[in-house]
Formats: sequence, C-alpha cells, structure tokens
Amino acid sequence: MRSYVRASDEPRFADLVAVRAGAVAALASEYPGTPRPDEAELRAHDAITRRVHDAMPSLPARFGALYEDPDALRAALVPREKPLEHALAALGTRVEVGVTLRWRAARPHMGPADASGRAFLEERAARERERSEAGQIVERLVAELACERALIRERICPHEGVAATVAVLTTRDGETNVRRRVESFGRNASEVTTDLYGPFPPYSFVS
Amino acid sequence: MRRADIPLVEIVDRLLEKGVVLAGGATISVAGVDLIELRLSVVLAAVDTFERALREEVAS
Repeated sequence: MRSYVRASDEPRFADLVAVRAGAVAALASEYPGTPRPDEAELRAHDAITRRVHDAMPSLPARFGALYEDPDALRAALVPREKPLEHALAALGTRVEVGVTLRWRAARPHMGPADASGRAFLEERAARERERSEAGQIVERLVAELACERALIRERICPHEGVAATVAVLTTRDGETNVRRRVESFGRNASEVTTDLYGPFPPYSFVS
Repeated sequence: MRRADIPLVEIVDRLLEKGVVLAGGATISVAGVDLIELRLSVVLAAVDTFERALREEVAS
C-alpha cells in the first residue's frame, strides 16, 4: 500500500494500481513477496507517497502493509470509506514539515562499564533532566511557531544526540512561514541546532 | 531540499511508525516482524482534533 486519495481526483499513475471504494481510492504497487525495510525500499515508498501527494490530496500509508490481491484491499477499504473520506478532507491537502533539534553539546551518559546502582540512578536522573529540558525547548519552538498545539507532533529524545523531532502540519502556502520561524528559533537557541526536512505527506498526523 | 539529502533516520521514523493502516485484511509485516496495527478510530480521533484546531486557526 502506498497512498489513499479521493476517487473523484481520478488517480492515474502508471506504476500504481488504483482500487476504488466509493469516494476513496487506494493506490498500491504490485509487489512480489514482502518488502524489506532497506534504504532503497524505504526511499522508494517515500518518493511514491510524496509524488502522489504533490499530484493530489492524499494520506500516506505506513510502509509494509500488504494485501494478497486488489479484492482483499477493496474488502478492507469498503468499511473504511467514510472515515478515510473524512480524513482526506481534513488532512489531505496539508503537508508536514519535519524539524530535528540536535543538542549543540553532547550529553554525558555513562556506558556499560558503570554498572553500579549509584551509576544507574545517576544515569536515569540525567536522562530525565535531558527529557525535561528537551520538552521545554519544544514548547519554546511551539510558541515561536504560533500555531495550534494540535498541529504539532513531537518525539522527545528519540535518538542519542537528538533533543526532539517535531512534525508541523501546515498548508503548502504556510510552509515558508514555518521554515522562517524555525530558522529564527534555531538562530536564537543556545542549546540546540535545527534541521528542517520535507515537506512530507502528513505521516505523523494519521498515526 | 533534495530527497537524497534527507537522512535515512528521518524517513525510517516516519515510514515504519506513522501513516495510515487499515485495520483489517492486511499483513503488516517488515522482514517477517509484525508491526503494531493502529485502529482507524485512532486516526479519526486525531482528525477530529485537527478539525477543531483548523476551525480555531481560521477564526483567529
């Protein structure tokens, strides 16, 4: 599965099969076997969902959803037609901009060699402080963006060295403003750097 | 930004953990490991939240 679109947009992509159910259509690739989550497959899924989203309102499918044949996909789609139609109307034309906030200075963490109980507790306390600080930074970014909190999704300390990843839902016209505000935030933030990615289809807002 | 410039981790976080999953009939599998299925009701709840936010955004 790649994307969900409105049937009225009459989706036609040479490399995708369109399975319709009333007002919605599912766009899928014919695929022999199970896709492996290697870089080429993931980037291909990303490219396809982005191409569809550039062409018409869409919702991206999570990577790795397989149906045996178009009939199985249609059977799954029919009872979900109305919710998907509703979701497409609310989110389909929007894009998400990804923001990664990276710590400017490395956070000290103890390695496996420090296995004492005291070291464990100190490590846990350090992680909690890091999460708390990252959460406060995200709230400052949210204030800078000056948009509804519901249009923002964040993950706190998702990876080593990363304070947070933030997804901002916006219109295509609003993307430039989001970028400008994030860049302004990055210039003034002493604790983190900011990297902008996207725009992506609204992955983070349909999960 | 060109897509090749996007770090793989940014793509992995989105594609494997986010996006629409229909609740029935699909095999949600990556390299033989089942992924957690999301119920569509979760999607709907999120959409309701966004619609409220969007209405407030338009009104302001």
